[in-house]
Amino acid sequence: MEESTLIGQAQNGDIQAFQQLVLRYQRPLFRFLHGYGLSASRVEEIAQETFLKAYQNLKSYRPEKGARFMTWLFVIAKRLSLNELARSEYRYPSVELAEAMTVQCKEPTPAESLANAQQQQQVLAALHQVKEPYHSALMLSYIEELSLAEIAKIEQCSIGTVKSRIYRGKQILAGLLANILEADT
Amino acid sequence: MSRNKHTCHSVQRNFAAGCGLNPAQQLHLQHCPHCAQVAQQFQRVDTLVDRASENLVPTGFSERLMAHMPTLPAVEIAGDVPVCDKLLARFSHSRLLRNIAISLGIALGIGQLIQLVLGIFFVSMMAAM
Repeated sequence: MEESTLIGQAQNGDIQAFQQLVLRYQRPLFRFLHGYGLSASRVEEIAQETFLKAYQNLKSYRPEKGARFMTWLFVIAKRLSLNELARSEYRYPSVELAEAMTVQCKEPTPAESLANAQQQQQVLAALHQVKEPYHSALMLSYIEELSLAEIAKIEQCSIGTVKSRIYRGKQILAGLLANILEADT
Repeated sequence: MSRNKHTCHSVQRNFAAGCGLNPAQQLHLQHCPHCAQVAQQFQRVDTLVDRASENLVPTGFSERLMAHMPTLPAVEIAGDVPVCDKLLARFSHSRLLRNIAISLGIALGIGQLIQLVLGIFFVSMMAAM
């Protein structure tokens, strides 16, 4: 079903239509939120808060102003994540390895599972170490559904600045992941 | 192909940002070993991030989220809710308004109490006279 139809129905109080929007955008949203180095349980809480805020303020969303629902959703998510980071002590090193392993859904051997979880934790931790303003732009660039123009809208800067931030962010990330990259070659 | 710092930077920047390279930049990428190496490194970084970002949605997330929905105020959602219901819902969800109402209630209660005490006092005074 068309996104605009779903939004229209959700704006009229159709919860099922809103659930369709949740199912459509939960994956990129979690991907974005995990880059902030918060624990998995905190990420889920922020994801919930993001969707709840979107639902409560759905009437104020105006697609005719040019912003896609997803862009609007990510503006909310970014603000909530930065608020959370500012007021809490949550940082990635505090996340238990066991928690990182819970997000693995495939069923590899225990050794593979541990190695995958360790690598996943290392990559997410490295993503978190990339500082703002590069961090958000970099995380948003990994959301396939977002164009550079939409990232620029979320970041409130020009497309050129977004490109530079992603470039710099990737350079920093490559440096932080150097040991994995070297081991892979 | 000789390395041109400006060209290398714009090629690497566009490659990192995932926007297309123009023909001249593509040609540069094919012939500049430094840019090719950087591009390969970025591709491997992307693969690592992709792999790390798979299956991050916890099982049953949307169901848990939807379980919270009916408890939310409907004021912002349904346009045909009567004004008094909207105000009532807004009132019941506003901490400030709730605190004002509680304070008013307490002040009114204290006023009533003072009135009662003064009443008793005056009645007993009158009786004593």
